[in-house]
Amino acid sequence: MVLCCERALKKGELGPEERLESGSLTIRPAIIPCSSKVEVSYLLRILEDGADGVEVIACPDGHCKFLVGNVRAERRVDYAKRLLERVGMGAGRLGITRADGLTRKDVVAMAEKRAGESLALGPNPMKEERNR
Amino acid sequence: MIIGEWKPIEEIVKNLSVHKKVLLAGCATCVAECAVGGEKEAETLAPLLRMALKKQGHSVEITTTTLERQCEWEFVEEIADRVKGVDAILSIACGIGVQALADRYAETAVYPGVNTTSLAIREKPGLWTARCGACGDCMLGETFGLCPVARCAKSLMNGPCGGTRRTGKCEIDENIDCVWNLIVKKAESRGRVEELEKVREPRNWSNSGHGGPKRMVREDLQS
Repeated sequence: MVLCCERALKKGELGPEERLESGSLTIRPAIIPCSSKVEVSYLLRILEDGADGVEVIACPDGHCKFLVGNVRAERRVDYAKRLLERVGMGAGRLGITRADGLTRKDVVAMAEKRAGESLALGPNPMKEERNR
Repeated sequence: MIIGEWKPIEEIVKNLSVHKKVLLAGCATCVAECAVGGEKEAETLAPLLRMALKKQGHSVEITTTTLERQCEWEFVEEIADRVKGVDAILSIACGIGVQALADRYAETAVYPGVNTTSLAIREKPGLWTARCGACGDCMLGETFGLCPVARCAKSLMNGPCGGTRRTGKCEIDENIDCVWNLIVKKAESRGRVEELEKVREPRNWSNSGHGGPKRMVREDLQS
């Protein structure tokens, strides 16, 4: 799953409900108005729902419409990573990148990188729960 | 406000692992203000615990609710129907809230999810510091509004002690101000240092925890 700040994307690059694919990897991008809207609970819920990994894409310094929303998003992702580590899920399932002018290809590359780190930790045990 | 910290996840998981259905109960008052036990934290802790339990092979259903105040019977009563459907409650309120739930829902196992630590103030975003020791004999009028009971590591009545750093910080932690240093500075700035030199009567510690469990009665308010 990719949560992407609209300011990090090149204009018109991704539709709101679009799904991307890369080999066997299915990528669900969600374009959000600002990365500051990403709460720790959302990140954990996405993983609980069976996603292998979550990549948050925030805009660069000085670009945030709420001034420091991107900085706060980074701190929240760090906090969520520590929580995941504590329960043995592995911090690598979560990540954040700051960028702008991203194309669909860039988003796929970021998702692939996150998927690589996530899958190295083994399959998400919550997937089994979801498929029940 | 009353502040606390999440208990170690392992401890919570161990308690919940023997149950099938658990209600995670937050409190929207003090513990919400200190980002430990409000609705947001309940919605964060629940998926975390579900993942931790699943990872250890336990199948536990966790639902959430957040009471306006877990220390008021009227609000505690509001979750009666929800409690009927679970075999345990995990409260992330302070110790008062946990006990209120355990008292009202005596047939259900109630566990604390939080270690209550002190009475504190939010100094700045993300930082809470102790301000009151609930000692029962307030001396803030003599110490220029700064509490040595809660804010001095030794609860000294006549500091600063020899452990005060040159930076004005406490010897136990360089991030903690020596409260007596602050008291003296404040007295100096008001030209009233001589007030700190007065011999004071011993404090009445029997009004704090040393005098047994505290009980307060107002007959005019009783039913």
